[in-house]
Amino acid sequence: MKKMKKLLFLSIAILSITTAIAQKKLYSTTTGTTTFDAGTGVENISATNKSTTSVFDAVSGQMQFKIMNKGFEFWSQLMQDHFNENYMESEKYPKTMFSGNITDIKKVNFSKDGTYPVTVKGTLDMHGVKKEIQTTGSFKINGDQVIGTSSFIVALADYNIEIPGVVKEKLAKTVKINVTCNYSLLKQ
Amino acid sequence: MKNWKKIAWSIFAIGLVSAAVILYFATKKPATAEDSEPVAKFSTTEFIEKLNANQAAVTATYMDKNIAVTGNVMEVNKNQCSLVLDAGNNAIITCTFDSAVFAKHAATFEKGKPASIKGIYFGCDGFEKNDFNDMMDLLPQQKSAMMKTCSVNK
Repeated sequence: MKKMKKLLFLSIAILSITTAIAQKKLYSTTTGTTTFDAGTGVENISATNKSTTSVFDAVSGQMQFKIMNKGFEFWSQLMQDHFNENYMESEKYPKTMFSGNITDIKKVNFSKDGTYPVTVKGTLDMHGVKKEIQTTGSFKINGDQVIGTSSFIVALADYNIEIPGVVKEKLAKTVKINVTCNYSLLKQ
Repeated sequence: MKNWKKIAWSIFAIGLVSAAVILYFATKKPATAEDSEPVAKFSTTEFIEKLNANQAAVTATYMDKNIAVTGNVMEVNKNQCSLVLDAGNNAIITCTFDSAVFAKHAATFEKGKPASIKGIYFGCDGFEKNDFNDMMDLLPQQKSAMMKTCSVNK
């Protein structure tokens, strides 16, 4: 009788684990592109990071991003230094993270080519400040290729990033961020 | 009168030099690996082993420096102008290129074949338990060292 109970317990445990695994379908990338534009028109203040790490679950819609701040490339060395030393304080806060959910993932048919608009909601953790954000984006499905894109605006003041008076004319109070990720299905 | 002229010319000269210095620093482009020689050369596995042994020491020595790594190409991402090099033991090195530099060398990058790449090292991260804890039950833990403004190391 005891043996039967053990066997039953083991079967349930194995079944639960198998079901949990089967219910996830992860797509990932380590070479996503994130760009931002913080210019006011006086000067070009923009940068690109081509090493954005991201993963999402096509079943639950769970999504995460991670960006190393030092990976942003500017056209000017001085801007790059100011970004890392004065604004983002990259030594103290090396990463920018996003953790959230694609709220309408069920609308995306990953086995049918097309472009599917989605809504993403979650927490942006930048410069030591965590803040809830919501944005729209899209998934472009082309065979095995899954390209996720999104564009949103953040206010620098929300993340305790101060703009010194001397560059107030040049640096925008809000920054436009674009993310493009070419995802691959993770083999399990 | 002559003294006034001298002072005026001196002020003008100092102003001109200052403007030139400011202009130089304001428009100076960031250092790229393409224009310089690497300060150290490793195999991809060797570099990851160094990071595993003491990441803080690697950061102190090589952060923002041009280093060269040699390893097998795991992924070629033409759209993003990047390469992923295999570093063994669930580790990779991500190398991103300027589009013109990538186009120049793209034909030589082949999946599974070795490549020697130099780039500005800017950190090591990847899929780690602390950051991706909600999804780590299925996501393989993967260390990823990152290099930017890369080029082929000859």
